[in-house]
Amino acid sequence: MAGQGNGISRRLGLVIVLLLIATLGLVGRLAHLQLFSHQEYQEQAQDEHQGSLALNPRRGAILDSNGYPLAASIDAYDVVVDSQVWDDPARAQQRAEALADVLNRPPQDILDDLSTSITREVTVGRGLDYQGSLRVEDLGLPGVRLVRTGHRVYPEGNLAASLIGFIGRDNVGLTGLEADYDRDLRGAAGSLSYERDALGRQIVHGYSKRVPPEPGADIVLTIDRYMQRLAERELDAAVERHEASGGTIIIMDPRTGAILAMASRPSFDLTNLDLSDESMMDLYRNRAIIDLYEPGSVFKVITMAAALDAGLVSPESVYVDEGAARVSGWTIVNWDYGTHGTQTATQILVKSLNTGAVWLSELLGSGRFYDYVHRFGFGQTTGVGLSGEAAGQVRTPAEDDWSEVDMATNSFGQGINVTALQVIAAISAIANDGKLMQPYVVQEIRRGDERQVFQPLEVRQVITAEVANTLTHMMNAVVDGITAIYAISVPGHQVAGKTGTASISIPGGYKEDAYIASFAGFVPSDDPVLAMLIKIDEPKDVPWGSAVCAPVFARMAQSILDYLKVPPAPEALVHESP
Amino acid sequence: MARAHTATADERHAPPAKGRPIPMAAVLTIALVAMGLAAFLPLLQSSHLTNTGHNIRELEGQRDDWQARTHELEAEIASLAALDRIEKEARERLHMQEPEEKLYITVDVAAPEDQPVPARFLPPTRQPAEEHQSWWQSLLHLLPFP
Repeated sequence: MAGQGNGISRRLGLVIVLLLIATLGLVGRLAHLQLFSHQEYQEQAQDEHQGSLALNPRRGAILDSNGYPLAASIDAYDVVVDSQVWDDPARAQQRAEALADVLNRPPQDILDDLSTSITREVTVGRGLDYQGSLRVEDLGLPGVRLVRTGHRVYPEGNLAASLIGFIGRDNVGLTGLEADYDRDLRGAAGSLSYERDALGRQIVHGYSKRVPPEPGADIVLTIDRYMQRLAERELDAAVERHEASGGTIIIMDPRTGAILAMASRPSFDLTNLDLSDESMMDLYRNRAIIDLYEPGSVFKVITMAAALDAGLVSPESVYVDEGAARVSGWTIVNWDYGTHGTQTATQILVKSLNTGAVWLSELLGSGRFYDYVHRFGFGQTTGVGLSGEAAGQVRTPAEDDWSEVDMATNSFGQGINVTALQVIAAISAIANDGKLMQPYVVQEIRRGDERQVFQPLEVRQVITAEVANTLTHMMNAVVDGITAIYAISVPGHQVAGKTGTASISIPGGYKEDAYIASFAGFVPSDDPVLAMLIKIDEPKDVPWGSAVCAPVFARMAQSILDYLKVPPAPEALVHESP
Repeated sequence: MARAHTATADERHAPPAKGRPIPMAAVLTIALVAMGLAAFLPLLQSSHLTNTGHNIRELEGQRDDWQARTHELEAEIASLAALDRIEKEARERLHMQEPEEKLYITVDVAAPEDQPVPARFLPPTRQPAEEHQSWWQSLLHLLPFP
């Protein structure tokens, strides 16, 4: 009996031990799951039961100086499908057919998107408008949800395309102001976390947390849409008329540095972009601030300003033009290959004499000459606040391969590379009593009720106000001389300006029979409200700035002065009410 | 002749008279109803909260829809105010053309102030509200005082 009892006790003991081991095993496993793998399984559970989606903010608008939108965003919707809910092929086919009609794409394409995607949620339609989104909602398809995005619209069409730039599919700015001010325009995304049912739909009474998106700021430009449109129309007409390869027009308020219009050609169709076409890449840059060119005779104004400010000459100072200037073994001739004899400083500008500019530069000497060139802002970026702005190329005596002939050619605007923006900023300094203003295109950033206003910034006093006034009168004489030939006056207003006709540099020399015609000036010259640069690249019929660009300047100045309600001189009035 | 009533010994030792006792069944019923109501209250609250939550979500959806529609209308207004469209309308519908000659005339009338956006898109100018007088204030005017 005792042996039998011992046997039972042993078996019972064995069972207890086994149970203990099993219990310990279970406890160990439980501890492992609860303590060490807790995070992993919690995430899996959350992933199964909780959905989250980003709430896209509305991108800010880009407005002209009067508040008219040049680029704005309207709501658009992406259609997202939960592929796990569409796992039944027959039902998926039915749903895809229903959706295909709204998305305007074949049902098979939608199914292909789902089968090839590595993510659970697949975007099968993009950029649906508001009405389209309502149609998708009405379908009530399980596993389908709408994600609000934005669609960029351009009420003024392609106006200021290269300045404004464009955004990518992910609503991120890629070029122009859209890229430069992307951080302000983009806003901050919000989020929505929610509990979802087996079909992936949000449980109405379940947990949800919504962090609202913060809309992007609106950017107010100094650009005036009327002037911008006028500039682009005139530029298009001039390019077509002269069969030119392109051109640039910039209008600036010389008193503040505000850019009122900035147009370049060739450009691109902002409303119909094809980013996959690499041949279009060349058109996306803003040529007014990126492309370098030799300014030609417009630069004689800078040389003259330096000589006047240094007290070396006056408008009546004379020199003898022998038709050629010899510098370091090189011979420099006038544009007309003529010999003009005794000429005044004013006539150097009026007749655009290269030899006269060389004479002035020799009076100045290289130190003072390049000092003034830099003080006018050449060889450095203007700080306009647009990415990609070029500094230009000004070779100075500090460089090993510089020689006297460099300064001689620089004095009449050859052998020096500048941007169109640098030229109009320098001309504006003369119009603004010798004060160089920093150009700017953004005058305000509006973020809700918050306003960030940009004020005009004076860079430096380049020349004295007296010298600027004297130079203005000399530039009046230049325009008077052109008017006598081309009849390009602006009735009731006096214009100050200078023409330029420059050769186009290429590696190893200059392009044959190709020129850049330009005209830079300001009006009314006694109290300027606008400075303008007209630059036409490679006109085929006639190369001269006076023939190609000055008439464009006159037409535009007339329209803009009327638009700005700038009264003409009393003698231009036909009647005055009592 | 009437006699005064004197209490008997039994009457003196009897307990004082009470109101009608409340039946236990009624007490229990009231208690059950009260408990039922108390239990029902959280259900009502929960139902109310659920409804409110649902309504809020619906209203949020409506707000989003209206915002989307507002943005579309803003874009439409901007398109209608575009310079190209204005010029097209002026030329084609109103048969206007560019002036061939410009004459400048001075006038004594001040120019209208510039509006940042067309006046029709601006909020209406509010007229100052007339001062409201109560009936007794208007009676004061009838009195012969200055």
